[in-house]
Amino acid sequence: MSSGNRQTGKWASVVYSLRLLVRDPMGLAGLILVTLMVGTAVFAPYLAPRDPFALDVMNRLAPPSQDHLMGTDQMGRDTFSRVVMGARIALKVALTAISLTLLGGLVLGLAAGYGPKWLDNFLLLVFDTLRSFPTIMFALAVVAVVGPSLNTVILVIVVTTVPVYGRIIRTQTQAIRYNEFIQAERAMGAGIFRILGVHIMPNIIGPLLIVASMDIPVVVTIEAGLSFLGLGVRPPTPSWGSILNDGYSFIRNTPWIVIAGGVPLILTTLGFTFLGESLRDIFDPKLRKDI
Amino acid sequence: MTDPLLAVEDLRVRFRIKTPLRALLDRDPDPFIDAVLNVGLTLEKGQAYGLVGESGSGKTTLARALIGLNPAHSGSIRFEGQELIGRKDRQFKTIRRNIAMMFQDPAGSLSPRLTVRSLITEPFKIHGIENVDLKAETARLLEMVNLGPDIAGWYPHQLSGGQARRVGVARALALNPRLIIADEPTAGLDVSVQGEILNLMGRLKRDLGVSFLIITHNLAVVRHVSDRMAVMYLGRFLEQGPTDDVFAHMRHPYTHALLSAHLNPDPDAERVRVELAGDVPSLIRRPTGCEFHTRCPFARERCREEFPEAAEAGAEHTYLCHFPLAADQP
Repeated sequence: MSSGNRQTGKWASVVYSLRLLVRDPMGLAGLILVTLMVGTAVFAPYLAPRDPFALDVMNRLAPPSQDHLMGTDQMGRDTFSRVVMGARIALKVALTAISLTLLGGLVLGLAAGYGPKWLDNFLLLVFDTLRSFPTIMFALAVVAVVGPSLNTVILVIVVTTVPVYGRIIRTQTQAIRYNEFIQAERAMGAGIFRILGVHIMPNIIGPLLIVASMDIPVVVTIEAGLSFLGLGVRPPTPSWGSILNDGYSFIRNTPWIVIAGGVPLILTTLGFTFLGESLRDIFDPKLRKDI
Repeated sequence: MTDPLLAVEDLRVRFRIKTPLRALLDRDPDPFIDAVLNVGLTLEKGQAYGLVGESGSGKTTLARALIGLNPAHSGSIRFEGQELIGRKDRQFKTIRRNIAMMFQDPAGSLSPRLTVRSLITEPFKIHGIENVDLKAETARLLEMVNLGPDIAGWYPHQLSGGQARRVGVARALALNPRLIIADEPTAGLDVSVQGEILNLMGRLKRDLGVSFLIITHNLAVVRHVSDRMAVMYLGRFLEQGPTDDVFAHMRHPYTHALLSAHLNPDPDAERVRVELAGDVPSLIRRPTGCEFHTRCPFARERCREEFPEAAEAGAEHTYLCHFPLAADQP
């Protein structure tokens, strides 16, 4: 190890990683797109030029103009304002669903990876069972029981993705649990929660966060897909999926609604994917170009 | 007479090698191997006990059984008079405060995301000791093992082998344990660092009255620091006794073989080499009679059939052999 590296603290390495990220064209593009998306979501009420719910029946399906940057939909609502507000829904679903998935995956994955063999077998069975439901089928079933809502979307996403995370975490935990430093901690008298929380989790959370950041676009598209099918958020709440759905019905009258709903979806997906891949390259020393 | 610090009697550690179903299908009535068998040792305060033997002879298993990392099957382990066998993992917590273990891999036994300071003070946090100045303790412990204070902010991967080993020693010393189990304390270190580590252990033994159980295949280490020693083979003690006595009057051919495999830096020294043929037999199918007969250059008919009784060769010096070496041989 180089002696120059020795004095670097945690913050210095964060700054260093950021610099690597900005220098990578893909990482920079991802960072800009993600910042744009998050910024839009956070400041949506100030950015939206009009009330996204205000009807203007005289001005239905209008093309883009100075008044309506992306035209209007079949009820004369300003599409641009709806797209901006839709970013909120997308981000809210993505962040809630991914954090709940991470949490659930950590609890179940650590239990399966560090717990007794029978618990491992049982949890794997649960994971496989959940994985075997197609997401849409599962969503239809859940909607049939509890009705469509934002929380239903989140529930569906969490239940279908927890097994993926659980499996990753279980495998990582098993890879670490027999390392000598875990044995050393046990030999010092450390309890199970200390071992899991202080010694195993920090070693698996890094790669996991990157997987999570790459899964955000997937979640955004699932939400859009479910909303498109009418299984997600209820009208008139603006969601990119429901905007697409509206546009789809009137695609013969005007293409603008579909474009307005689709482009931010594409850009968000690209942004998070770029960012995730770039971060993975930076944190995986084997893929790193500077060493 | 007061209790010795550590008294082990007839210890047996077994591992299951087949699942119960597999064993039933194979009609195997005993789907276990004995990694440690019939082991007994006594360790007094301030003394060091050396365990030698080839890889796979059960040295590490024995050590791990002492602090409950491997469950012992039967026998007795008494530490300061308390019986350890039959305890649950949680009930080992206080024991693990008084018996510290240094692991084989110096860097691998340090949690990779923790700084040296966090690593050394980990025992305080584990045992909920809050009325200490962790910063001062770190400095004290680092000084004890001859490491500079600025190393406290480093991470394990930035340490050299010798530094990592010393951090391991410092961590073991944190709570003033009464016994330190050192698994291969010199493995992977160059000779000068080996010497430093051994001197450090000797000093701790002398000045702080810490006892050591040293596991090694390096006979020079045993000779240098331990008061008593045992030679392990297939989980048994083939010969044990006071170190000086064992070195001067070794009775078991295996002890002799181990010693003669050890290089002597004096080229003119006369050497009687005993070479061992073959590999260590499998624990799954232990040899009949004397378990060493498959590799013993002096094996005779009787060795193949009859298990040798423990024989005495002086004060507290015992061995398992039908045809021991003459008492005055090297």
